[in-house]
Amino acid sequence: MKVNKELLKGSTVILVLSLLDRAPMYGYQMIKEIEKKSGGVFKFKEGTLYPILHSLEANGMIESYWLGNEGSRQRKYYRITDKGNHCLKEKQQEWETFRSAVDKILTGRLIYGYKTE
Amino acid sequence: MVIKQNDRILAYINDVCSQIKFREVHKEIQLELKSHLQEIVEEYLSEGFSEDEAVGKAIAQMGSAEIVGRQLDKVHKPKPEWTVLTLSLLFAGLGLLSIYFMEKQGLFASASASIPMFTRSIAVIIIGAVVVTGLYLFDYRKLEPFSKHIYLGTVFALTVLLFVGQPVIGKPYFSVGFFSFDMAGISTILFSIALAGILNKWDWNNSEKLAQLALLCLVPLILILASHSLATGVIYCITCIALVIVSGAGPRDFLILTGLVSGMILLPIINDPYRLNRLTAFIHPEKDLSGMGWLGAQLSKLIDNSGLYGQGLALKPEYVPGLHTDFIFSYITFAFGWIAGGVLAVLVAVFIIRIMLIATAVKSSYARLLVTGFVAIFAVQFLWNILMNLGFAPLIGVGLPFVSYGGSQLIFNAAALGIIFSVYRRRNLSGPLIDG
Repeated sequence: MKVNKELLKGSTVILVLSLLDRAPMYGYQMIKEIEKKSGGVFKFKEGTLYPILHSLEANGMIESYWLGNEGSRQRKYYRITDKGNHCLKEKQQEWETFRSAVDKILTGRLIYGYKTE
Repeated sequence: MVIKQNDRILAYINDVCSQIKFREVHKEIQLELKSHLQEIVEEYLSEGFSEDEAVGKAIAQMGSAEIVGRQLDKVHKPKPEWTVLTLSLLFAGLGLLSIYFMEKQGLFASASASIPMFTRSIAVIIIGAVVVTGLYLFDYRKLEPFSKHIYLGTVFALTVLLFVGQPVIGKPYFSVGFFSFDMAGISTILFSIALAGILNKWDWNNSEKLAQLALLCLVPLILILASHSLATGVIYCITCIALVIVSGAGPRDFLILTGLVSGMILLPIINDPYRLNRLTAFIHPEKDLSGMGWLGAQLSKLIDNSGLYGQGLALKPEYVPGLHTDFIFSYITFAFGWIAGGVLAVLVAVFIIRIMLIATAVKSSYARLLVTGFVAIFAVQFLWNILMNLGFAPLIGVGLPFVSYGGSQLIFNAAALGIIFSVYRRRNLSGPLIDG
């Protein structure tokens, strides 16, 4: 099933930050991880990841560094900063509040058998 | 298997970059996108697709080059450091306003200048603004390879100054036409730039090089002191110490270097009765009411009589010399009141702290050293000037940056500010390991 684009757009920051909270990664690796972890639900145009990464870096949430391995291949890795960690904690809490509120309404509908259609 | 060059991949990346106006970031983005595209292509190739198909699929997966490029352009649109920029303009504006009032009051009556002081101030500020803008656009990283040249050039200029300088109030100045400039005063900025480059990647483990570094730090100081610029010597010393700390010196090397430069600065004070006189005048102003003590007493009278909201244009001419330069803080406090003086001091603190934050936020160690040197220079000038105006520090020839009328000094402070803005604009650029 495909997810509404707007829904995905609002959650990319928290997705990227929580990925980097586990380990430093480069762009392609992040795409693969998101795809794998979400069971293929989250798929977006891969180029649009970079504006998100660069703006997170400009805001001091993450920082980047280049690493070269496998001969001449160079990859730009990103890691989370203290500021980013702080922001992630807030976003997680916000998400938790939002999720449980939506859950309550959705499950409430089932319990009382309230149907709009 | 690595796809070395593929026209379609290069064209895609060029399309992205063509949207991004900040050209200095292109190289890094090109390399990052290329490495991403290569990874996708390699994956498809291993799944058995032809190279042509793999490239096509990879580009389709990236999304529209125009959209990606436009979003990246938005992220990399230069955002100036508004606080520092606004404050520096405010300082210059306040200085201009004060000089305008002084001229109106006839405080410059005796100075037989052909061009009015206010006009000269405006001219200097316009030159300063051009310098700031020019250096902001200039990529500061291009300075690093020239560190040694800047060092040697400044040493040379100071040496020449000792022989051909025209004395102005006891200090030699370079005169070019009707414009004379304080070479020793501006040399701190130049040495700070040079030492930032030299100390970046300095090998602190090699103790044999310590003597070399000591010499590098001491030669400028000796030349500055030889041109009778004690205030500049103090500023240079503290800048040197700040740079040594930030460049990662161990405690032993730090102590040796600090000891050397501080010892060097104390020597002329103890040796010179005139300078010792200033110091004792500071400690016991009542003993020397005709000389330095008189100046200090006049200044404290000015400050004491200023009141909360100031005395406006009540000041008599010839009350204190140098009101538009070193003692402009006293004038501002007297004319606009204690509150204005206090607000100015707070704004100065904000200005210094904001620049310090830039030094901690930048990635490149060279940029950090550059900004550190400038912070030290600004901080000592601001702090000493305000303290001496309030009577808490001995009187030396140091102006209030951006506020005081300062010709060459103001232009070089503006240059330092321009380089700080240049660093801030490029703070997220990190050089790839190898040129791709």
